[in-house]
Amino acid sequence: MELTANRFQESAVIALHDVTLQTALDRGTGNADGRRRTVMSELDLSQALRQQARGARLRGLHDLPELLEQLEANVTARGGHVLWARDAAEANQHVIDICKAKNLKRGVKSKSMVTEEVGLVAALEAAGITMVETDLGEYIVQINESHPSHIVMPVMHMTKEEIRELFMRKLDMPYTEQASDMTAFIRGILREKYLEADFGMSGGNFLIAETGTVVIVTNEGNGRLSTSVPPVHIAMVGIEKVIPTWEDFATLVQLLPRSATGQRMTVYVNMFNGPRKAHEPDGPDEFYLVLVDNGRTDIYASEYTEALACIRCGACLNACPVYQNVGGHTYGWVYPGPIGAILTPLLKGKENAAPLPFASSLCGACKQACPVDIDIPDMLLKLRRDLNPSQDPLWKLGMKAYAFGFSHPLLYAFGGKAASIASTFIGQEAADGSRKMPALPPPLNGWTDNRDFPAFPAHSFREWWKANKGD
Amino acid sequence: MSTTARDAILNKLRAAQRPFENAPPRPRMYIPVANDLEDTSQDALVARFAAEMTNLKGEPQLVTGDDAAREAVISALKAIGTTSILAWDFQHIPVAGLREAIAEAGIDILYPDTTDEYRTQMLATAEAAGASVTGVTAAVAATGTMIVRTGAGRGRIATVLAPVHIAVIEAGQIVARLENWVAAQRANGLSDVLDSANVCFISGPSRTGDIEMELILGVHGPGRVIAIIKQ
Repeated sequence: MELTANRFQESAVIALHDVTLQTALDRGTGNADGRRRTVMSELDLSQALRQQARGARLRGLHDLPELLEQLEANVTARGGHVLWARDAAEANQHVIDICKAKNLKRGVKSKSMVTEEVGLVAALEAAGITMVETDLGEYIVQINESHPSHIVMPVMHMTKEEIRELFMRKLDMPYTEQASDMTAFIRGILREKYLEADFGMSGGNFLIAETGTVVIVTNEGNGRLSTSVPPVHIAMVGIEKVIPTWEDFATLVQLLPRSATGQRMTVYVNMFNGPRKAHEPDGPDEFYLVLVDNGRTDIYASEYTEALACIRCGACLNACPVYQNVGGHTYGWVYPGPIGAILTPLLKGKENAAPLPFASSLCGACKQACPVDIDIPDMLLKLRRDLNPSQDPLWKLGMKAYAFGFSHPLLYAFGGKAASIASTFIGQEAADGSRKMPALPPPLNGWTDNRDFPAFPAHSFREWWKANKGD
Repeated sequence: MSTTARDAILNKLRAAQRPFENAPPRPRMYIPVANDLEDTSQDALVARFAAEMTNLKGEPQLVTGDDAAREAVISALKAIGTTSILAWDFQHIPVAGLREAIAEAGIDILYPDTTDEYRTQMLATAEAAGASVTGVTAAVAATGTMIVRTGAGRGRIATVLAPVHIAVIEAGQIVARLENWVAAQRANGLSDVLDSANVCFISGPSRTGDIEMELILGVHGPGRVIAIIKQ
C-alpha cells in the first residue's frame, strides 16, 4: 500500500474531526482494552508470564539463523517446501511461480499482516490470479478497496451502518439492522469461494522450529477452511516468527488472545506439519512455506532488534491514547499504533515516516500492555534521536547554561531569588486567585502560548526551611 | 535464485547475531498460563471443561455410559433435523453402536475424502450436511478446548464445514491445562504431533467481532459446537 506516514499531522487533524471514525474508534478501542485488562488481571502471575513469553521470543531471535535452518529441515522432512524471499517482490514472485506451475487461478486467504506488507493480493491480481480475503473484516476491506486499520480488527474504523451501506451497494444485500444477518449473508458468499478455490493461503503467528510447525490462529474458522478444503496451502510468514519449542508455544499461544481480544483461547489454533499424509482423508496435497525478510534482517542488525519480538496482538494499539483518537489509517502504512510507529520507520526508511516516532506522549501504556514487554517508549525515543542527530546550537547552549546553574549552589540560589523578584513585578492574578506568569518572549513562549506557568513564590523553599525548620 | 536468497538472509543474520542483555532466562519450569486449577480430579476437570465451554457459547452435555451417549447424539441430530452428516471413521468416536444408530435414524453418513478425482462432487455433497460427528484427541479443562489431530479416518473437514459440530469426548481424555497436554507430547518425543499433518485446538463455536465487536457465532465454521462428555 502507498506509504503516507509523512502526512501524519495532516491526517490526524482530519481524523480527529471525522465523527463517524470517532464513533467507531470509541466503540472499538475502549472495548478491546477493557477486555484485555480483565483477562490479564485474572492471572495472578501475569508479570512472570510476560517475562516467560518475552524470554521465548528473545531466545527465538537470539538463535534465529539456527532455528530457521532447523525449521526448514523439519518442514522439508515432512514433505513441505520452504522458499526464501529477500524482499516483497521476491515473496510475491514465489507465489506467482507456484500458481503458474500448478495452474492455480483462484485462491482464498486467511488474515495475514505480512501479505498486506508485501502487497500480495495486488501482485497476484496483476498476474491474473484472484485472491479472496476470507476473514470478515479483511473481506470488508477488500470490497471497500481500502486497507485494514488495526492489526487484529481490520475494520475498527468503520461503523455497522457504514458496513451495511457497503454490502448493499457492492453486493446487493437486502437492508437489515442486524450484524448477524450481515454476517450470514457474507458466509453464504464465501462458502462458494472455499469450495471452488485452487489454493489456500495463510500467514503464520508462530513457527515452531523443533517440529517445523506453522501455526495460525483465527476465531472465524476461515483459516481452517482455507487450509483444509483447497488442494494447495501456501503460508507466507516473516522470518522473525520462529520460536524454539512447544513449551514456548504453549505460553505464547495463550497470552496472544488474552492480549488481543481478551479471550482465554482463540477459537481455532491450527498447527500444520507439511502436506496431507498419505493415510489422511483430506487436507492439501502440497504445502509451501514462504519465509520473508523484507527489511527484517536490517532491523535484526540494528539496535531495534527487540521490535522483532512483537507477536502482533494489537494490545498497544488499543491502549494508546494517540491511536484511540486518530485510528489506524493516520499512521500511513500497514502497521499502525505504537508498534507501527517503530516498524514503519525501520522497514520503510526513517525519513519516510519521520512524524511517527513523535506521535506518542511516551506515557508507557503500550509497554505495559505488551505481552512480551517490548520497550516501545524507549525505541520511540531512540528513533527521535536518530531523526534529529544534530541539535539546534541555541538549544545546546541553553542546556549547558542550565547544567552550569544547577551544579553551582550560589548561582542556583541567586537564580531562584531573581525569579521570585521578577514574579512580583510581572506576575498576574488569575481568575481563581492564583498568580501566574504572563505570555513570555521567545523561546519560552513555546510553553506559555498553550499552557499556564505559575508565578514563582515570594520566598524560596530554602528561605522557608531556614525560617521554619532550621536550627 | 532461492538458494541465494536463503544464504543472503542467513548470512546477514549470522553476521549480526549477538546476546540480548536483558533477555529473561529459559525457565527451569514453565509457569502454566491458567494457574487456577487446584482440584484436578476427573470430576473437577469435567466440570471445569463444561463450565468453560458454556462460557464460550458451546453446548456441553454430561452423559454416563455408551447408551446415554448414543442417545444424546441421536437426539441432537433429530433436533437439528438433518438428513446427512459428516463424520470421522467411527472407530475414532468412543460410542459403541453409534454408526448403526445414526443409520437407523435414517441419516446418511458421509466420510469427507478429497483425495481422489471426485473431490468437487464430494465437497458439494459435504457442504449440504447439516451436522458433523467426530471424536477428539484430547481436551483441555482450563480453556474448554477440544484438540483434534488428523490421521486415517480423522479428517479436518468433518470438524469445520458443517453448521453444527457434535464431538464425543471421554472424560479421561480431558487434561487440566494446555501445558499438561504439551508435557504428554514431550514425553512421547512429540511423535503424535509429527504423525499428523494438522493439529487443531478448537475452543467453542466459530465467532467474529469484526462488526463493532458485536459477537456473532458461526461466521465460517460451526455456529454450534455440542460436546457429549461420556463418563
